This record gives sequence, structure tokens and C-alpha cells, in this order.
Amino acid sequence: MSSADASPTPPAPAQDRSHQSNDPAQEPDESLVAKVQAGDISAFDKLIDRYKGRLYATIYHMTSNHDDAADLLQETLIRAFKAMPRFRRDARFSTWAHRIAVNVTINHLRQNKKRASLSLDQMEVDANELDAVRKILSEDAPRPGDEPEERIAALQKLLNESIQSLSENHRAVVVMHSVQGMTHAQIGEVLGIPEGTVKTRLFHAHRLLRKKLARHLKDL
Amino acid sequence: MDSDEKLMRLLALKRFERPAPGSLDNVVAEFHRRLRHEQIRRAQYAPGVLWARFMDALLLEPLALVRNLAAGAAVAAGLVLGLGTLSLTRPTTPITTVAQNTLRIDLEPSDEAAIRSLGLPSAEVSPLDTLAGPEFDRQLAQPLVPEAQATPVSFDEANIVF
Repeated sequence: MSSADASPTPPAPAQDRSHQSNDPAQEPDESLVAKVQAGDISAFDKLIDRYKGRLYATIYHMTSNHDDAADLLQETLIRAFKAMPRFRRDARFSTWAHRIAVNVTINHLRQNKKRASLSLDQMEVDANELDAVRKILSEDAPRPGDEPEERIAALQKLLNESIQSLSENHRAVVVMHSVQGMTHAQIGEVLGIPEGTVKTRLFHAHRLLRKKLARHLKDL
Repeated sequence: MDSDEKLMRLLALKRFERPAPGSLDNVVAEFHRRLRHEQIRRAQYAPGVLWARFMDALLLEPLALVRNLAAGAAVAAGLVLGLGTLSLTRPTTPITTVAQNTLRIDLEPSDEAAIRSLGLPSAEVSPLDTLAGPEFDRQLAQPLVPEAQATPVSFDEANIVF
């Protein structure tokens, strides 16, 4: 079993605003949660603005469908809001909200197994990021006549189809670790499972994906 | 670069997938809209509200209430009658099966005498032992269903649909 924590971290895409909770100028999550529990709904709006990007990303990468992701994000927020009186603040709000998002998504995937349709968010690569993407695709110089945008679009479709072929549990760990860069411990907190179980699921998921993508991995 | 590292690089491409610009701008507004809708829906079916609506209907629109109750009673009566009719039409006479006439091997006095002549006590002879002998052949020759036995009323070949 390879050490998944030692995986290469590609450069983060530009305009990533999903980590605003780290900004010291902003009101901490704990304070906003306390206000919501005291009845201040505008504090919940601030939490939504802070985490909607990350929650949407988790849900979208698991479903590969924009409409479903938007709908499930709303369901997650409604459930989180209703459960706020019971939130004990022994975990971080972001972890707790992620747990709700993953559970809502897994339930949706199980109920809609047959109706799996991809409606992919566009993979937007601007000029600044193109070099980074080329580096991801190949360490060599780009081949002449090779249109990176077309190649990227084809890879995007293939990747999403491969991830969709995984079980819900495998999909969740792959998305959170290999796509969103969460650690084993963080994933374990979100899913409520031991770190060892996270590693095992990740190992099996990677093995399945390597099998599906073997031909394309050779080209990289 | 080993295959695991290549896989990780490939999966990292998904980080470049982004929703259309502005598609997450209305999340808060949509959240409030859905929350309001759900609160209204729950309020409509709260027990106190249902009782209040019933009393309003009774006092303000008694005819409409009576009409609705009568319609409900008619539907319920129709269901009861329908189920009752189904149970009455169920056939009560048992359907005769072929297995009703089983092959019985009855030892006749001449058979018992034959068995005794073999030196075997009759109590030790099981009916199954006769399967190997002429008695078995005689029994086989007899028809399974006696000709005089009439076909049961419930078994009508003309009504069998395949």
C-alpha cells in the first residue's frame, strides 16, 4: 500500500476562495455558530458564503453533475440549519457540514444508481495555468500538433466516468483525498471512520482506477 | 514516475473543473427560498392547523364539508364492497389433483401365502418388497383412476387456458 499522504500536490488553480476561514480578519466559525444557535440567521448566511465553494466541490466531484450538485448543496444547507440546535461544537463546523454533504450525496447516489448522467463543470484552464496542466499531463515538452484543450476535455470525461464507476464509499475518499487534498485524519473525521479504514478504501479505490485508466496512464 | 504518482496527477486535474461563473452567487437566496417553502409546508400540516381548518370548514362551508365527507365515505364503501366481492368469488370446492389416487400395494391372501412359503415371517416383509415380484406387475396393470370415477365438477378441461 503506497503512502497516499506523500502524493504530489499540483499547483492550486487560480481564484481559489474556498479557504476564507483561515483569514484572521474574519469572524471565527465558532462565533458564527454560537450566533446561529442563539437565533441569528444572518450568521448562517456568512457560514454559507464561507463554505459553499468547498461543499459544492465535494458534492460535484462525487456526482459529476452540476444540477444534482446544486440541488444537493441546498439540501445539505437546509439539513445543517435544522440540525444547528443539536450541533455540539466538539468538531469544527466545516468538518460537520462536510459530513452532512457527503451523507446527503451518498444517499442520493444510492437512490439514483441507474440514472447516472454526467453534466460536467467546465475545466477552465487559462493561460497562466496551462503550463501547470501541461506539467501534470507530461513532464516532457508538449508534443507538436497536440491541442492541450482537446486532450484535457477528453481526459476530463474519462476521469469522471472512471470515478463514477467506483462505489459511493470509494468515491468519497478519492474525491476528498486525491482531488481536494484532505488528509486521512480529516477524511476520517468527516466520514466518522478510523484513519486505517480511510487508507484501506483509498488503496482499493486507487487500484480500481489504475485498472480503468491503465492505457491512459501509459501516455503520461 | 510510477503509476500511482501518474494517477494522482491525473486526479488532480479535476481541481481545474469549475462551475460556470456566478452560478454560486445565489446560493444564500435560494437557501432562504427553500427554507421558507419548507416552513410553510410544515405549518400547513401541523395538528393544530389541521383542526383549525376542519372547524373553519364546518362553520363557514358546511355543505362543502359534507360533500367531501360523503365522497370519502363513498370511496371507502366502494373499497370494502370490492374486496368483499373478491373474497366471495374465490372457489371453495377443492381442486382434485392427480396425486389423490396414490399407488397402494395391498397384499392379498395368496401373496401372504407365497411369502410364508419362502420361510419369511410376514411381519418382516415390507410392502416395498413386492415391487420386485409378479404382484408388482399385476398392480401396474391396473388403471390409476378407476373408470367408474366421475371427473370432479371443478376440473373442466374446456376451461383451461394455456
